[in-house]
Amino acid sequence: MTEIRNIYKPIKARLEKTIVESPTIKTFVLIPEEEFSFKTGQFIELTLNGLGEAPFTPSSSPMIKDRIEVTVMKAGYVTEQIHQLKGGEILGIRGPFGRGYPVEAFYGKEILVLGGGCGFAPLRSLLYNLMAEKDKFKKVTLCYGSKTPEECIYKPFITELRNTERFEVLRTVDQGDETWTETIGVVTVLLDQIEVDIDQSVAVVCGPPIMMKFGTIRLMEMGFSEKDIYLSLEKNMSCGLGKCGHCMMGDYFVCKDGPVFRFDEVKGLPDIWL
Amino acid sequence: MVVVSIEQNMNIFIDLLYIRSIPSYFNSLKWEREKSSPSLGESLPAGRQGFRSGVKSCITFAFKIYIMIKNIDELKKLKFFKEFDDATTEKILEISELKEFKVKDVIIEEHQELSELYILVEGLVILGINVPAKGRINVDTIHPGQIFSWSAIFPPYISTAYAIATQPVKVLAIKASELIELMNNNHTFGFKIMKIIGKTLSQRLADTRFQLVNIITMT
Repeated sequence: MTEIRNIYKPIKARLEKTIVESPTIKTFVLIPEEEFSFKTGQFIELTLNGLGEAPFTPSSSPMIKDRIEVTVMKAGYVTEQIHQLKGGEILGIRGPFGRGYPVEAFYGKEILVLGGGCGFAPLRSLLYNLMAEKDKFKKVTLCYGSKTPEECIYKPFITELRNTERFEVLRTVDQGDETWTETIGVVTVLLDQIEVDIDQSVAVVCGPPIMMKFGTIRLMEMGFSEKDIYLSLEKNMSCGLGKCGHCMMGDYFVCKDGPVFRFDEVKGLPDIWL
Repeated sequence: MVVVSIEQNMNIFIDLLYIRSIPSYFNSLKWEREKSSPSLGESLPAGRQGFRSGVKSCITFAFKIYIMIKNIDELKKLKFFKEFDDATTEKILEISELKEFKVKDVIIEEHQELSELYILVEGLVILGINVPAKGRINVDTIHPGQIFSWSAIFPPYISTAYAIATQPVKVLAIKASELIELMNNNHTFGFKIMKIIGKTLSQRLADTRFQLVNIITMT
């Protein structure tokens, strides 16, 4: 008989190491006690014993099953406690939950990935997935924005992407410094620079709500159909199971029906950008 | 690529019409050999000096025209010219000049009087504002194909931001007064130019609002 995992009970994961991505963002490499599979775009509930749990989307490759990376921005009490971890601690993982990116639906297409700040985390998982199957896609373009060059995360990964055939990376920052030689401005400025075959493309957007709103508006102006814009709306998720109602958005539970939504599914809902 | 202006080269060509004939040149050479060598350019008979300079200018002129013709096809591919037929594009190019700037060159200073509309051909240009007690703050980037110095078309023709090259830059500089004259003489053409500028400003306004809202919600 196949064992069904208890969705309420976390599995243990040892913190192997911490990677400092920026002054406020760290990536935590976790080794689960058993093989852990997830689809890119799904999320997990990360438990700190005695403190609580919070939802995060893995930023590692879904192809790797014996380790999982979670990128955390210091934003509140739980994330501040997570940032204090040094290595060797035992955390808990529940999940994976929710609906991830429909990667099979992207086969044969050009993919435009638009990310901002820590929203790059789920997108990195998606990009790893796309790199692993790169022959199935026409082209992948990443447009990524952050506040400053210091806040640009995953720098080694960016280099790896730039060295991958058929992958293009454009970056921008709100405020540059002496060393910054790429674009300055909001991430939508990068959309003026790319050439996409709109009819053969899909767009994937993840980042702060403001960025997602303006990014989506600009994509629509470029000619993208609402059905071809995918948003990762990680809003107010708590239980991960569609029980607490915290993440309700119209008729949807973000934790069950999302966090990945097509724009045509949610565009009529109030406050989707909040 | 070579910086060239059609007007400048026409002046050179006209100068050539005043150069002495070739026999006179050789006579002056003979006179030269009988004298001690003059310092360059000072004691040379006017005819020889003028002819030499004329020949040099001719060769340079021909070379520059060659380079310009070679580059016109490249310039026509710029997004700006997508709306225009070849004849209109060439009319615009006739009142334009290709300019080059090095890294960190200030192409436009803030609050400067402007006389040219620029289209970025190659490189990257940063736009920004000088802020009291903070210095220069960069707010936007111009990429190839985009226009800047649009204030040259609208009174009071004063720049609203500085523009600095962050990479080696080539711009097509269109003489604003002549462009405005073309627009006044041909309203269909004028409308197309205004559409291009309007679209550019609309996108920059949307991006600026995005930046503003970003800052407001972060504080």
